[in-house]
Amino acid sequence: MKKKVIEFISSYTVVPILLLLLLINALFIPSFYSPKNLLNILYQNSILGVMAIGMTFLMLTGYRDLSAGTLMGLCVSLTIGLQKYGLAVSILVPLLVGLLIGLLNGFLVHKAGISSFIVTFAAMFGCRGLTYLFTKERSFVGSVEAFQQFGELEIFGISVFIWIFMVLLLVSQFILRKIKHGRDTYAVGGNPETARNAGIKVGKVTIINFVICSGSAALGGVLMAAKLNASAPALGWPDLHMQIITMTVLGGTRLSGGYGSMWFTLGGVLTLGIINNLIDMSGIPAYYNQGIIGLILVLVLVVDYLVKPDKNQIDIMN
Amino acid sequence: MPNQQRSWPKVLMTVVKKQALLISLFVIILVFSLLSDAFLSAQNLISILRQVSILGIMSCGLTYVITSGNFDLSAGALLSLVCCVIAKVATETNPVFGMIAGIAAGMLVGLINGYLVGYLKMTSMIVTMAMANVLRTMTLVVTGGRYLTISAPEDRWFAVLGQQSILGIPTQVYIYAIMVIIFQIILTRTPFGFRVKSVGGNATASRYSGIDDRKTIVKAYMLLGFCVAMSAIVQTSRGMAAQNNIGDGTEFECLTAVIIGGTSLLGGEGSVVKSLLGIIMMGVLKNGFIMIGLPYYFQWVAQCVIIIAVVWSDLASKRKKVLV
Repeated sequence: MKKKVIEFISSYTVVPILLLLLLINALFIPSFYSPKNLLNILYQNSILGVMAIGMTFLMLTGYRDLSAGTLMGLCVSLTIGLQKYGLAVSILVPLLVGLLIGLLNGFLVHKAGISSFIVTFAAMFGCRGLTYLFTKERSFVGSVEAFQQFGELEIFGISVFIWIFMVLLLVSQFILRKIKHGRDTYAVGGNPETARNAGIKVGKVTIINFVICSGSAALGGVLMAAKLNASAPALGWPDLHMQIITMTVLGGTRLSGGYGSMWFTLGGVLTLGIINNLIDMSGIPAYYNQGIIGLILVLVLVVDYLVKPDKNQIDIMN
Repeated sequence: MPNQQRSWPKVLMTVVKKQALLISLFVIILVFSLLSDAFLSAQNLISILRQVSILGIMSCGLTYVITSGNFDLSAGALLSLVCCVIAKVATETNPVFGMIAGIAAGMLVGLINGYLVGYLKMTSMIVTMAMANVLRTMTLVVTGGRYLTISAPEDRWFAVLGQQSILGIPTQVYIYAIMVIIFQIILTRTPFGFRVKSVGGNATASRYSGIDDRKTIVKAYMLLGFCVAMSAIVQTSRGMAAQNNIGDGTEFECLTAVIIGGTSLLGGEGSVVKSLLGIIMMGVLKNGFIMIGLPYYFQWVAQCVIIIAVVWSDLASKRKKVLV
């Protein structure tokens, strides 16, 4: 029994945390369980969730992307700033930029053999620089009525962002479980050498996942633009990518790759959202949010270390 | 003839490859000084040195942590925290206690980071990222979100460290220079420096040869904490004030400088002097773009290109995949 519990916790770290949070909420915050508040949590975190989906793909391959945050900022500015050239251009260009940056990242990591940390670290500055070059430090306000209405759209009383997040989550989980690319992702993340020997095109899988990650960051940027209907060059700096990585790690997806799922990511997104909501609703000053999330992340990692059967250090330098 | 194969172009290429950073630094300085008259003036060069030394002092410690094969993304948040601790304690008692408290706080956080990374074998990137969040919150708790100033007249002497000059060169540049020398000597000439490199190169092998890798990692993090505290002292003294977000993003700049300097992110090799070159490179770029009339945000694009170029050329010259 004890063994089973430990096994369960070591595989699904996020479940006990979520249950604990829900229990605390039930005891202390009476208004937490109103449908409005629950939808609100999802609404606030769905765009980050979309980005976390992409990050999960990449993390399953064994890499991390530090540029996701500033890339999102770049895409918000592009979306709003290009609206004078038409709605289609303003949506397609940021997405293309995102895919291109993902391709570049993947190429530099796989073909040139540079550490993904360095590549995405450099891309983080690159995206930030591009944002400022494009905007010249200006903020933009959206001018297209239809785009703004899209941001306010509700289907069955649920915001369009939540729908997009949910649909993407289901599609991604389907890809991971049923499609060849998803299976290959797990294989490459688990052990690239073995995967290569088994005839999997490691490079292709890696580059596609970099593209997926940056693409979802760009999509997050477009959605964020729709939500705000405005842009500021400083969006996404300095620690948005950290939030997304935190969400993914908190869910239980292993940093070393090869282990995790979209349900974990959903759990991570919800955990982060619920903590923020809990702190806001309980009247604790908002600046405790970050600290508490940081502590929980450390705690999760400690628990992970304690219950993990093999206590080898996870290789950090993919 | 033993030296027959060593033709001149080949020797030149080796030198270029080995000193690529120094050469590119000279080229960049040359370009900037051609484009702007004021760039090469003594005043401007001194102001570059003054600007880089705060980051530079931090980078001494960061070089150790990275050489030991780990990361620290919490250094920037720690800088903010220590600045605020110094300012808070200095206003309540006096700057001497402020400095002591700051160094103690820095080394304590280093100890915690080191324990989590060294003893609990956690991924340093994620742990220090989480620590950065915790530290930012602690900073806000210390300051209450306010801007702290050291304004008592009897504390004015504290400004010597960050505002005054000795023989025309700012005090903080001396502090940085002394720290570079000491840290470089420790890294290259002492058993501890050897252990840091050895643990970074291969932690398991080091353990089997009798080196306590865990303790070494903790010490490296504590040294980083000390360096961050030193740069926080200079920073606080320079403005005689502390703000809760003053260090945001400095960890990234520091990391860039160390990477450009050629310290391998895989661990095992590193040099404080090379990090110094990286720091100067960053300072020159930051200053130069402004001097030739380009907006300051060009530096970020340049930073991106330079990181990739340096690391790629480094890899190409070694003809092997150092980092997978």
